[in-house]
Amino acid sequence: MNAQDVKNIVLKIITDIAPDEDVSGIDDNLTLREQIDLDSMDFLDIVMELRKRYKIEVPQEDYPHLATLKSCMDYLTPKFQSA
Amino acid sequence: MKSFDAVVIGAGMSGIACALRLKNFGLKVAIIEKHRVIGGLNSFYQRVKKNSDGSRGGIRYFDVGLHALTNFAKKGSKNKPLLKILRQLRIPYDELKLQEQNFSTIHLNNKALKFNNSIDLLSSEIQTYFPADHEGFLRLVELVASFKVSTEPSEYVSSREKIKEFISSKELQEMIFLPVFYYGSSWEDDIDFSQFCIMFQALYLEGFSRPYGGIRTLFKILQEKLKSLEVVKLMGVAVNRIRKIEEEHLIELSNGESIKAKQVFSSIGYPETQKILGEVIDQKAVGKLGFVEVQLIYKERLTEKLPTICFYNEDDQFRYKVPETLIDERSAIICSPEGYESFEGEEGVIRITYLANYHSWKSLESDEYEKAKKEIEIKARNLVQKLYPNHKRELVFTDTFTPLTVEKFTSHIGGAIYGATKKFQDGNIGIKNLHLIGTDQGYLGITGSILSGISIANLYGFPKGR
Repeated sequence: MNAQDVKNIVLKIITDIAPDEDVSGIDDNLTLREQIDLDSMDFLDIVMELRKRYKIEVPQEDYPHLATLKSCMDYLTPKFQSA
Repeated sequence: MKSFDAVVIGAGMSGIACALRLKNFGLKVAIIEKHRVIGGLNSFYQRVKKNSDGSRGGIRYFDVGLHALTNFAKKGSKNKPLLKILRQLRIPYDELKLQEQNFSTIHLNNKALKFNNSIDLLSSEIQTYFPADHEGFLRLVELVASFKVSTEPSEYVSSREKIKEFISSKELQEMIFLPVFYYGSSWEDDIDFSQFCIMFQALYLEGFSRPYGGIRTLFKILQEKLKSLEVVKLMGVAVNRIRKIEEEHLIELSNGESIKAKQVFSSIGYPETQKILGEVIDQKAVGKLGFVEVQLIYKERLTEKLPTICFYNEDDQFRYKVPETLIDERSAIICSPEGYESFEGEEGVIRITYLANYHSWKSLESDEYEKAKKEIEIKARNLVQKLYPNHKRELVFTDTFTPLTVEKFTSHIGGAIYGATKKFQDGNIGIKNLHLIGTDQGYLGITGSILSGISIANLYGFPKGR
C-alpha cells in the first residue's frame, strides 16, 4: 500500500460521508476544510470509517494529522503498512 | 440478562438520531420506547373517517408537533445545520422531498409583515412599514448571520434588552420575537441572546419547509435506518427505574425484565429522568409552557394562497407565558400545511395553536373538559375567519389536543412540550455515564432535537482512539 492508495481510501471515505461534495479537484496541500464542506463531526466519521473498514486507529490527539490530503498520506501510510 | 454498550430511552427524534449514531460507532445499542409508535413529541396519529351513511371511510392522518421543518437549506449549500444532520444520519437530501413554504406572516395589532425563505422579503417589508428601523434590522441580520454556535456554557443575555441596540420600535421588536419565542423558547417572555441568534438563523435566514407527506415521510426513513442498522427496539415498554450497579446501569422495565447498559442516553426530559433515577424532582425545572392545538379538516383543498404559517397577536404586546385561563386566545399560531409548494392530502387542513395552562385543564371534570375543547374549536374557527375573511370551506372534522393529551402521550410532566426551563448543554446531569439528550439538552424543533441526539452521541459514544 502506497501513499496514493491511502489518498484514494481517504477520498472514498469522504465521498461516502458527503455524497454531495465534489472531491475531484482537491489540492493535496490545502486543508480539506477550506476546500469542501466538512466539519468536526465529519472528521469524526472519517476516523470511525478508518477503524471500521481498516482497523486503523486515530487517537484524538492525532486528528490534526487529517487536515490535508498530504498530511493524511504522511500520517496514515505507515499505519496501513504496519497493519 | 441482556447487556448493551448503550441504551437510549425514548424513540423521538433525538433518541433515534442518537441511537443511529451510536450504532454507526459500532456499539451494541437498544432503544426503549413506552409507546407502540416512534416519534415522541413529533408524531402523528390516525382516525378512521366516517362516511355520511355512518360506514367506515379511509384513514385521516394528523401530524402533531411539526408545523414546519426549520433551517431550510437547498441541496449542496454550505455549512447548513439541516444538511449536516442529514449527512450524519446518512440520509440522502432528496429522500426528504422537502417542500418550501409559500410565505408566512407575523400579525401584531393590525400590522402584518410577510417573510419567506429569503431574508430579502422581510427586509423589504420592514423598509416599508418600519423605515426608521431598517438600517438597524440589517445590522441585526449581519450580526446573527456571523453568529457561531458554541457548546460552551455562556452567560445569559436577555434578548429583550439586546434587541434595543438594533430596533427602536417596540412593535417591531414584538413582531420579530413572535415566531422566535413560539418556536424556540422554553422560558417565559424572553430568550437568551445566543439562543435568539440560533432561532433567527433557523426561522428567518434559512426558513421553513415540510417533507412531502409530513412527519411520516421522515419516520419512514428513520424506521428503515433503525432496521437496517439492527438497533434493538423495545417498543411498548417503559423504564421504571435506573439503578447504578458498579460501573453499569441496571434498567428495570415495565414488562418485568431488566437490562444492563454501560451508557444511558435519556431523551425523556430532565425531571422525568430524575424520576426514574429515584431522585427528588426539581419542581423549579418542570417546564410550564403548555399548548392546545385545534385541527380543522375541510372537505376541499385550498384554492387561494394562505400564509404557510401565521404568527398572530391581537394587541401590541405579546405575552409568551402561561395564561391564567385555559388558553390565551389573544395570540396563536395558524398553520396551513397546504401552504407549502406541494401537499399530499385530498382534504384541507388548518391547525391553530394556543398557549395553554396545564393546571386549568387538569382541574376540569370530564364533561367540562369536552365542553372547553368544543368552545376553543369555535374560537379557532372564528380566528381563521377573521384572518382570512374569504376563506369559506366546508368543515368535515375537528380534533383538539390539550396539555393533558400531551402529558398522556409524551410522558412530559405537565404536558410541557418545550421541556424544562433548565438546559444541560453538555448533557451532564451529574450521573456518570448517563447523558441527557433532546429537548432538555439543547434546541427545540425537529432540526434541534436531531442535532441534540447526534452531538451528544458524538461527544460520549465515540470510542476514543487508543
